[in-house]
Formats: sequence, C-alpha cells, structure tokens
Amino acid sequence: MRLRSLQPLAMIAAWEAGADGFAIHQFDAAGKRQEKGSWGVQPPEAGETGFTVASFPLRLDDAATGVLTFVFRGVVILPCAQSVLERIAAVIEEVWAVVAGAGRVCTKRGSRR
Amino acid sequence: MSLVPAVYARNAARVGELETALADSKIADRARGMLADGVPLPDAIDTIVGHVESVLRPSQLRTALGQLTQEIEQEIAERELASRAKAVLQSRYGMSEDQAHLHLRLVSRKSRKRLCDVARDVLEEPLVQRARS
Repeated sequence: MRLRSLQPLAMIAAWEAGADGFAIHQFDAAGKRQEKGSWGVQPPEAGETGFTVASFPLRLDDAATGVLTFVFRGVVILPCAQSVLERIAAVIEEVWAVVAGAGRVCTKRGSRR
Repeated sequence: MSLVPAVYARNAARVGELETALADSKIADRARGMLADGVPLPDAIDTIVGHVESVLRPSQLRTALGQLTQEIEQEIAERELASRAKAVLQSRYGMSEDQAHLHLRLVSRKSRKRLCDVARDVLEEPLVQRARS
C-alpha cells in the first residue's frame, strides 16, 4: 500500500524542528533498507562528520519495520527540536503501523488467490 | 461448504484496506495543505497531531465489527462448553445427545442460569468430587 501521508508529515516535523533533511526507510525481508521518502540533506554515511541525526524506529507489532531519520547540520539538536521530532515521530509511527498492517492483510489476501 | 466466511473475510479485508487508504489520504491532504501555506503555523504540530489522532480514531464500522467479532467468539466458546458438557452427561449417565441437551436446558431454566454456566458446572463437577474424596 502507498504511504502518501508520511512524507508531508515528516516534512512538517523537519520544518518545525529546523532539520536540514530527513529520510524514511522500510526494511525488507532481508533487513535491507528501502527508501520510502526523503528531503534535503540525507543521513550521513559512516565516518562523515558535521551532522547530527535523530532516528526513530517505525514499529509494527513491536518489530522495527522501518526507520525515520532527521538530519541536522552541526553537532547539537536543541531540546525543543527534539521534543517536536518525538511528537511527530510518534504520530508517524501510528500511521505507519496502520498502513503497513493493512498492507500486510492485503498481501496475505493476494497470496491466497 | 458455504462460501460465506470467505466472502466475509474478503469484504472485511477490503473495508480495512479502503478505510486505511482514506485515512492516509486525509492525513496527507491536511499535511500538504499546511505545507502549501508556506508559513509555519504557530501550532502546526498540535494541529497535525490532533488531525491524525481524529482520523485514526476507530470508526463506527470498526467498532461494530469488533463488537460482532466478540459476540461470535463468545457464542462459539459457549457452544463448545455446552458440547463438552453434553459429552460428559452422555458418558456419565448414558444419556443420548438429545437428552443431554434437554437436561442442560431444563436445569438452565429451573436454576435461571445461562446454559453455558450450567455446562460449566457439569464440567467442574468431577473436580469437586475428586477434591472431596
């Protein structure tokens, strides 16, 4: 199922928290990350400096099936920004669980045909 | 065999799928609308969190389906109890299935207990006797 709402929700969070970018990844069956949406500065590669990230797991039935990462230039995330990110990440996780849960039912249904 | 359960399952899954798509679309439209204004609202986070929560709140249909599911599960559990109690009465007192069923109904009516409670009493009887001996 398409996740239309995640990108604009994350965009609002980035906007309000002053983040320089974000990325939403879903884990496939092999645990590999698949990008579901992104904007601005991408999460730094290992060893890259000058950025700070705030990552939030996106869980379905207590298992992390994705991750939402906000990227900030610099070394500090202000507490007020962190609080904004936490609130919106909780909401995004709720949407994620609902949409991914429904997607799973559809996949099961489709596979029985 | 009836195809009714398969039809139910298909329809319930489809309703879930459509409700989810609708919720996703409502949230996306609202969030995009806020972004399109170009100026961050002073209470943007409160507004969007409140909107998402109201959209994801269980609908009347979902609540009714949940209730129906619970009722059917309870009825199945009660029938299972009655069936096990009838089997006990048949083996213990040599009753036929009809007699066992009638016995449960008569005791239920006389004692003004629900049939499943009478069935539970029958099933718990041997445990009481064993505890006494």
